[in-house]
Amino acid sequence: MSEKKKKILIAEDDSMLLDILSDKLSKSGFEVIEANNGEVALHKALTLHPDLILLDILMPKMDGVTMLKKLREKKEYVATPVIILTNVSYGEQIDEAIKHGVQDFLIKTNWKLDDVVKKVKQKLAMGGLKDENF
Amino acid sequence: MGKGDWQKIMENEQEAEKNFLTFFDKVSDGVVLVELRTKKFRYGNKAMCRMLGVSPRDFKNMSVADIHPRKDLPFVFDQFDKLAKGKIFLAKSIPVKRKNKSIFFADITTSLPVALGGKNCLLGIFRDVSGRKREEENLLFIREIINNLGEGVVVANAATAKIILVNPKFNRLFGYKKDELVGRDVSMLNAPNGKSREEISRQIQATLNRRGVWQGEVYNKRKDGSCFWCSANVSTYVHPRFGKIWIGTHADITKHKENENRVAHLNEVLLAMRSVNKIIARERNPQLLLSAACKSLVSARGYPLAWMGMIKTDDKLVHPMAGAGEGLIFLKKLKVTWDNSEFGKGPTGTAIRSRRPITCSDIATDPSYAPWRARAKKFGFASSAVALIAYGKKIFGTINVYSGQKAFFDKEELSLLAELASDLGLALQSIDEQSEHRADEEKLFQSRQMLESIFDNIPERVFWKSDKLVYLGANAAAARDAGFEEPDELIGKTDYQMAWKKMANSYRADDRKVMASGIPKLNYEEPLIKSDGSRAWVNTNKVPLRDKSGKIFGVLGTYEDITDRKQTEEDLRKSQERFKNFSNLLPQTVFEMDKKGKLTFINHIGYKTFGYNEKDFSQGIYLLQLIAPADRKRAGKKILAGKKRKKIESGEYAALKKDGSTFPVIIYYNYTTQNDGHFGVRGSLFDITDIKQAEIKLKETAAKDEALLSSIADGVIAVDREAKIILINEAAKKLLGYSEKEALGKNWYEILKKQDEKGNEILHEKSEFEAALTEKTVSAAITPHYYVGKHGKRFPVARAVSPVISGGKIIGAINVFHDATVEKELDRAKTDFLSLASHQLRTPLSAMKWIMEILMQNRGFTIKQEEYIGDLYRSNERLIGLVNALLDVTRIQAGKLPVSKKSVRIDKLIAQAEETGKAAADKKGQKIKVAINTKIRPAIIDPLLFSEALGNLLNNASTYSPDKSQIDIAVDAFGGSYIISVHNLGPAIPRSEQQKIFTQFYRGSNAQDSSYIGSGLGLFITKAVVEANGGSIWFESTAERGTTLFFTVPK
Repeated sequence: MSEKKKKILIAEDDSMLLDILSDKLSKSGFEVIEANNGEVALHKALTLHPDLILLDILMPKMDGVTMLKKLREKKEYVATPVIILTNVSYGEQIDEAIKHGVQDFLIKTNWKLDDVVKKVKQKLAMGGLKDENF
Repeated sequence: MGKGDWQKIMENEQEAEKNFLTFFDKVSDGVVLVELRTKKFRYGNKAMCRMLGVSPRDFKNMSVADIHPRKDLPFVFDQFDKLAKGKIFLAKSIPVKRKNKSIFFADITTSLPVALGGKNCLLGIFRDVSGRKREEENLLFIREIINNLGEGVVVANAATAKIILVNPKFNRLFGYKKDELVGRDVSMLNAPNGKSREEISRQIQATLNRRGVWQGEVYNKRKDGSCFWCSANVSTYVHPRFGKIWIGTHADITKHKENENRVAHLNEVLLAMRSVNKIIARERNPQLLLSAACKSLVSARGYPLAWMGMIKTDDKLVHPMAGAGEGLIFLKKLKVTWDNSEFGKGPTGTAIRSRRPITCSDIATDPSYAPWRARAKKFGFASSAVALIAYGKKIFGTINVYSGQKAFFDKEELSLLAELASDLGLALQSIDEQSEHRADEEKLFQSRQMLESIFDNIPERVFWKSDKLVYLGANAAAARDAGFEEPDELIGKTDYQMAWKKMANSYRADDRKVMASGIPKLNYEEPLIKSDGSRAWVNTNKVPLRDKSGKIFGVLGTYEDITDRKQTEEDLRKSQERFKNFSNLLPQTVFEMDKKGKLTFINHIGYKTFGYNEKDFSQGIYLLQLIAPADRKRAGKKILAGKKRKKIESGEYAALKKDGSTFPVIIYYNYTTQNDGHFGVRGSLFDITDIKQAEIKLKETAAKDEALLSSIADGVIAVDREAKIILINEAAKKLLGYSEKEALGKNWYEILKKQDEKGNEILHEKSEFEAALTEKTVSAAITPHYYVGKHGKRFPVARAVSPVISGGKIIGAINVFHDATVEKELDRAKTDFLSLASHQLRTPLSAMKWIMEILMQNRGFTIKQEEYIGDLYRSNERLIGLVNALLDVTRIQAGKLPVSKKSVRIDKLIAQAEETGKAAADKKGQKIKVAINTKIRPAIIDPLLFSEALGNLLNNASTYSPDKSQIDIAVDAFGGSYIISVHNLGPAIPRSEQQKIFTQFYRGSNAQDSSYIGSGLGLFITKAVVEANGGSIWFESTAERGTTLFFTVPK
């Protein structure tokens, strides 16, 4: 791949899941940045400028929604694509997250890894922030 | 013009020119020569040019088209075509146009085409027939007039009297249909009771012969047999075809004739009345007066019956007093009243009550005439009239007249009849006043007669004898007993000559004793022998007869046959004996007592029950002795001093035994009249100890039930069939804050105010109570409900409502409920827990899912190992599905089902669902067939919810349907909704479970028997999802046709 590798930030508190995702995305040709809570994720996002963020919601220290809110407060991150990848399927947090602009909302148990990768590629290809209906 | 002439002309063509001109110019018909092809005239004779008003030179430049009106040209040209084919043209009354555009009519004849100067020509001859045409039109016009004439017109052959023609009016007049009369004899139109046919014919004939015209009035008969008067106008005319005919015009003059008849009739009535009035002036005997008046009316008016009835106020009957006419027998058995019975509602009764004259115009149909109709018809009466014979306010009676014709009595006749009746009233009044004096004398005579008649008719026998004991007289009854026909025969005879001679000595002894002592012997019984030899018992009284000075000169005796009474007394004695014997067989106490309350009888059981014996009885036992002291006053008041009614009375008392013990009794009694005229009481007395004990027990049980009900912690409200509260227990009162008084008798929804979770009121029609009362359904709480108590206290309820069924009918419903606040909180805690737990479960599940996915992509496993990994993956998927379903359920229970609607086409969603469902179906060899039976337009719904619902149903269908069967999805439109149905051929849902299939964790009992898999949450979720999307869900399931689930979404 002559092109520069795309950077994906994975925010996931469950280490097993983080490993699997990280492994899969690396093998799929992405540069992976790992974060095991919201605080780390926010810090890494602001310093390492990922092209796309896979964001869990229930995480220690700072949950995904708060992280997203803070991220979007910075002008240069307003348009960073964010895919929520969580097992929380409803509630105020979801509504809140959607309000702050996310590219997709995936329930972990309902998605195969391959399909998650497809989604990531698809969202990167579309680039920019384009709020979707779901 | 003959055919020969034609040929000659044609043959000599050279000479033709000259000959044509000279020959045809002399002909009076128009003659033309015309070219067949061009239709141009080559020649026209003088007559033709005259007809058209053109010069011969002009004519040569004209063609056929110039001499006919444009509209007739097609017809003319058509004839030319036919001529070309060799047909002779002969047409009548063809319109021809003159130069000045006026039209005349001509009959046209043409030759066959002939060659003339190398061209085919026709010779045509025109004859002006305008005159005839006009005549024809006139004729049509006249016929039209006749047809529309207001009078009936008939034309008949004078010789045969057969009808040739009639106009419609004539048919209408006589009631015949078109052409029905033609060919019939005119005499059939004459009424049968008019003059004879021959007579009328002769009369008409004679007049017509003399003057040619006949005018007069004839009585005619219609087809239906009814008759009417006509004025007729007949004239004769000699017709070229029919010969001599009659032309008649007829006009209905029934009305006019009726009026004439009426005047004549009134004159007759007036005459009749006058003759009756003469009698009134003359006759002073009321009976004769009325008779004469009736006779006079009948002879003057020809009534079949006239009668007069007098009324009496006591019996409200109308008594016929006089009558005349052939129908006089009608009065026999005649019952007429003026009361409110059916006999008083006829014309007579009505006339008397309303004080005005009445007619009955049709006896055959008048409903008020029903009681007399059959007889009146037998006598041939068809109508009747009644007038009141009255003077001032006093009504004497009525005058009634009859006629054989319907509606015979008109207003005039009735008013004259009324006048006559009032004259009669005046006459009767004056006779009455004169006869008052005579009546007094008569009364005296009558009263004497009456006394005699009484004396002879009383059942008491009366006789009197001289001091020598010789009979001086007797009444008829006594004479008969003695063996004589007349009382007079008895006079001068002694008892030895009477039927009772064997008793003579005894009787005579009594007589002497009475005369000697001067003291009457009264009221004693003795035997008697009657004339027929029978023995009788008599009750005799004998008193001495004294003259003015007081000296006794004889004896007066009366006696009365008391044989029957004696017999009755004997019977009574026997029956009493029987009663007493019988009563001894009864298990209860039977007693009789006199008015003082002393027992005159008590049966054996009575002695036993109360512990008395016959010795006590002979010393006297009083009823009150048998009653405990506490009840004595009441019993004395009720039984001894109570109102003496005939019906049986009863009362409960404490009875007292001789040994002082008491027991409850019920006494039934009624009052009897004894021989001496004093009343007594007869009764029976039941020991009701057992019943009382049972009652007490029952009360105790009821109290226990009540205590139980009120101690139940749940609120209980029961309603009757009308939804009125009949029971509310303590808990319900406490929960709702109402008192029993406030609640009982009210409709339950006045007390139970219900709200949903958001505080909206729930309509009572949708309540479980209504369902229980109308559909016998038992319901337990499904949807969250809140009750609001009297003081606005709101609390969630758990409730169970069920109908109360007795004898297969719903007699009410009962609601058992309790405050579910705590449960509600528990429920929420459970929901929160479940939701959290589900999320926690999902994390390891997703880890396993992804790891196995990676493993499956790896190579190097044995086939067996790959299979195991595949199995693991699928098991994991099922666990994920279960967790997802649990999450859905918690969301539904928490009311947090998110809905996000947008415009979508459901056919696309169905196609997606079909694609998804195919995977499972393929495994079982099932086919999915989709039928879109309606036009699909975008609908505003949540596509995810729709897909979830349909996906669940498809999944279910596939699960429950047998292998290789077909699953049908259909979409139809109904009202404002699409109906989506999913049909499978799986086992039917058992009836007993049909109510439950949409509840949580329900799985068909039959499904559980087999290998079906499922969580039992699918339909519960589906229902919630469908409803969240604004639709509803239901199903049909039979063993034969499989199961279909339907759900709707709004269009």
